[in-house]
Amino acid sequence: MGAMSRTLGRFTIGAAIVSCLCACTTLQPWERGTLARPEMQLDPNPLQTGLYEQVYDSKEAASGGAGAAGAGCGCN
Amino acid sequence: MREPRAPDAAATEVKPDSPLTALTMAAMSLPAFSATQPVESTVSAGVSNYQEADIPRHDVIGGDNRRYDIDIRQFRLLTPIGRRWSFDLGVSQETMSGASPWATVRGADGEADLIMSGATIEDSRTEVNVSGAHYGEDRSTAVTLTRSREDDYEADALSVSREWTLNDDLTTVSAGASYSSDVIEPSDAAIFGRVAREERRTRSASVGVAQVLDRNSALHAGLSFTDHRGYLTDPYKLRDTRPDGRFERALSMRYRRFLPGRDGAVHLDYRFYDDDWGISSHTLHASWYQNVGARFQVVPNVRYYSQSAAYFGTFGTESARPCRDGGSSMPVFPGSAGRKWSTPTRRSICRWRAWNSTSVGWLRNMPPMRRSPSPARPESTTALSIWAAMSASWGRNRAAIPGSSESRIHGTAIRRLQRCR
Repeated sequence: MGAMSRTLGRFTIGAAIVSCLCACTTLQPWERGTLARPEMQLDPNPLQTGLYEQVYDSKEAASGGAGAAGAGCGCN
Repeated sequence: MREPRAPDAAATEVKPDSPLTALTMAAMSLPAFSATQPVESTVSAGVSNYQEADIPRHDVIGGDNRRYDIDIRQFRLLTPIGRRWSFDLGVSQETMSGASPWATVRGADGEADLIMSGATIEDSRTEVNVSGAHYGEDRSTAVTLTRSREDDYEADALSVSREWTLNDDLTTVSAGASYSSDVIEPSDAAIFGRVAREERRTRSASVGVAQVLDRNSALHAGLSFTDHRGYLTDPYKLRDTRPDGRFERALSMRYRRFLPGRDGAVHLDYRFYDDDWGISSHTLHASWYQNVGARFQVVPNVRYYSQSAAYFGTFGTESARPCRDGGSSMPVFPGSAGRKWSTPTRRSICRWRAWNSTSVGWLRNMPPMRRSPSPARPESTTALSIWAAMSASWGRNRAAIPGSSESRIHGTAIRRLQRCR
């Protein structure tokens, strides 16, 4: 759990630094159109991402990072 | 890989030439990074095929060398309900056939060879997930139920997530937790001496921060912890016994930047992973979303994955030398992989493999079920989009068991490690 605490601590510090760096950023509503474009989304194609994640999850040891874990095997 | 621009893309162009447009922009701001209710109902469906390259015949000393061929059918419905809620239904159905690796043995040349299952295995999987979300002024809460069924594997999961928007909607903080209960009942258990029925449980927690950097870029950082308990062994592998617990950590960074001059966006994703089995991993995925006209996108991308070996990895048919670690018995674990290309005792095998996936689907946007509060809601937007995707990947893979979950892929090479005393 010590390693977990260190990881969480580093993550918090990093996130705080990024937030502080950007805290001075201000965007008017009409300046946010680009960020709303489909290709700017974190996951532009959830259907395809789900498919690929299922494949990777059954082939690789590493998983997670983007959210809570899902369910199902579909291995091999 | 081609993907369409969503039908609402045209509505998101930056043209603050009227109060209505400004309101529209405000209402549609940052749907990817903040908790906003979908503005319209979306139905999407896809049909995909996944094929994996056959294993070279000379690397297989028994069984069939044909790997899996999987047909996948997907369906998704996402719709707003009222002013505060949304409903999300996803259904995925797969049918698969192919031979599965049973074990890795040391070949005559001292390198890894495979024992495969016979002929082909037929299986199918159906997954259904239902999600409901509530949207407040500056937060949202979502609950998702997932059920997955195979002939020999059942999984039920519950996940809860919440998002908060801060800093004039430029920062989004998210947290989530999930619990999954899985049951495995291997087929032909009596014939092959496999376990009849085993269970495993998975608990996971995650946190994330998304930050808008400027009008053209944003960054997301995520951290997740996952704890597996129960039967984590693959019952179809020979002499495979893994610890009954596994704790995983994953840190991810995702960067998005739009380049107006090129009418495209770059995606850079990185993930670091490690667990208490001694496996650590780096994944780097870079994509370029190039708009081609108003209807198409070309998305070239490259993904690199590497992982180190589980500390108890060894060949599956060598004599088991049980070792103890925290009370868990872990004699043999075939199929471990490593990213170190050379070891003091073994030279690397560079085994190139390829898999490809093609998908064709359609996406249809419909008016919402009820009146949406957003002024951006089109009165009657109905659009049909078709996309096609093709991709292939390859890598150095000296995985002892290509089909096991700890033995794969891009840029990986097996490293034999045995710390049992």
